[in-house]
Amino acid sequence: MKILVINNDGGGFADYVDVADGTTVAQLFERQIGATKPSHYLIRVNRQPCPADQVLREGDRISITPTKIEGANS
Amino acid sequence: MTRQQRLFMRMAITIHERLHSEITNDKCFSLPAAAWQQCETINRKLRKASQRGWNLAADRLNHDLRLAVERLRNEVAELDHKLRPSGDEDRKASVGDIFADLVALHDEFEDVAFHRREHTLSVTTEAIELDGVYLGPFEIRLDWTDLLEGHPYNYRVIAVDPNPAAANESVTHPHVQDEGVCEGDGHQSIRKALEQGRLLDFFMIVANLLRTYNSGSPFVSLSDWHGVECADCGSTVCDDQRWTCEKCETTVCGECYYNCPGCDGIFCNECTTRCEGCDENHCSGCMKQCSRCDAELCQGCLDDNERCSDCHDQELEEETESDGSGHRRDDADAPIQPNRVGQVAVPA
Repeated sequence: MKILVINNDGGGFADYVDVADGTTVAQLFERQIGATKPSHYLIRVNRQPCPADQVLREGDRISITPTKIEGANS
Repeated sequence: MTRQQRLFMRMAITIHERLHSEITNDKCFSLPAAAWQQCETINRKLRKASQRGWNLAADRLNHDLRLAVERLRNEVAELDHKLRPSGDEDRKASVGDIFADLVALHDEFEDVAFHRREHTLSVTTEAIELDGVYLGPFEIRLDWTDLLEGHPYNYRVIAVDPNPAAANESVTHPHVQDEGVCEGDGHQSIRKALEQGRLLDFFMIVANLLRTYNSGSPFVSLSDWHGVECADCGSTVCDDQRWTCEKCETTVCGECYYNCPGCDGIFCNECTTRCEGCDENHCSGCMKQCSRCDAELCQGCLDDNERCSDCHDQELEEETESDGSGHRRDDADAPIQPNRVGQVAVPA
């Protein structure tokens, strides 16, 4: 099934990705971000907070936003 | 549909129209040459600092290089994304997306305001405190007339209960000056969110940036937020009146710094020594010891043989005394005028 993943870490890209049926939020997070702690991110499914074991559905919109974003005096 | 929902829908339609009128067909891509050049420059300085054993400078440059590489990585990632065949248009927010964002903003933030005439949408964060320094709530105000314009023209960060840095009143947050944010790591994601009309993401990213302190690159560091103390007299020093000792790097005020007359460097009291000859404070590099009595004097107060004036005079006296004729040895061969009545021999 296809879902929209918005990764606001780094480049801030939004992409439609295919995931297997039954994929949970935690599994998607691990696939997209890797070994980093999920507590360092605000994860929203369809703009709402969600539990880690929430199963994703076709057309869901998942956004992953780091809680710590470092500004810099450039 | 409630009154508020109708208002959100009108806002969503207006913003959507703006967003989709801004589609460009620009297919020219600029390579991240400036970011790469910055990496090269810092790396060159780092190599030089390491070779010369300037460890503090090398540490700082290593940190700067890490930031520059991060910037390069983000720019390469953005370029890679732009070069992909799928169109950006697919990902631009629909009216429904914008409507949903506007609804969700009320769940994420305490205060959300929309001003149709001014074309602004703003949210207010909770009171922010970083490292024990109260900075207060911030209003993030987005002007949605031109979402592609980019920072700093289309959004501002306004301190609601300002507690600016003592050294600079225009700095209301370590990463906010004159209501503009230095986006740092958030730059690409903020731009992407605005380009695609993802308003909720935009406000969440900026809010999280305001909740984060990067001690490596602030306008004013939090440790100096309430002013920097002069290391010598203890008074609070503002930015334009502070001097940094070139030796120990402590901050001193305009009243306490010393300008070494020998090398023109700036030093604190601790890092200078008063010359016994001219009575002026010099840095340790410009001070020498008299080769005879070990008194500390500046270069200007020592003679060619690195003797102080007392030792110089004393040495001359000793030389004179060691000469049996009572004349200075230097003058022994000097022509003298002939003796006459009432005249004595006087060196020429």
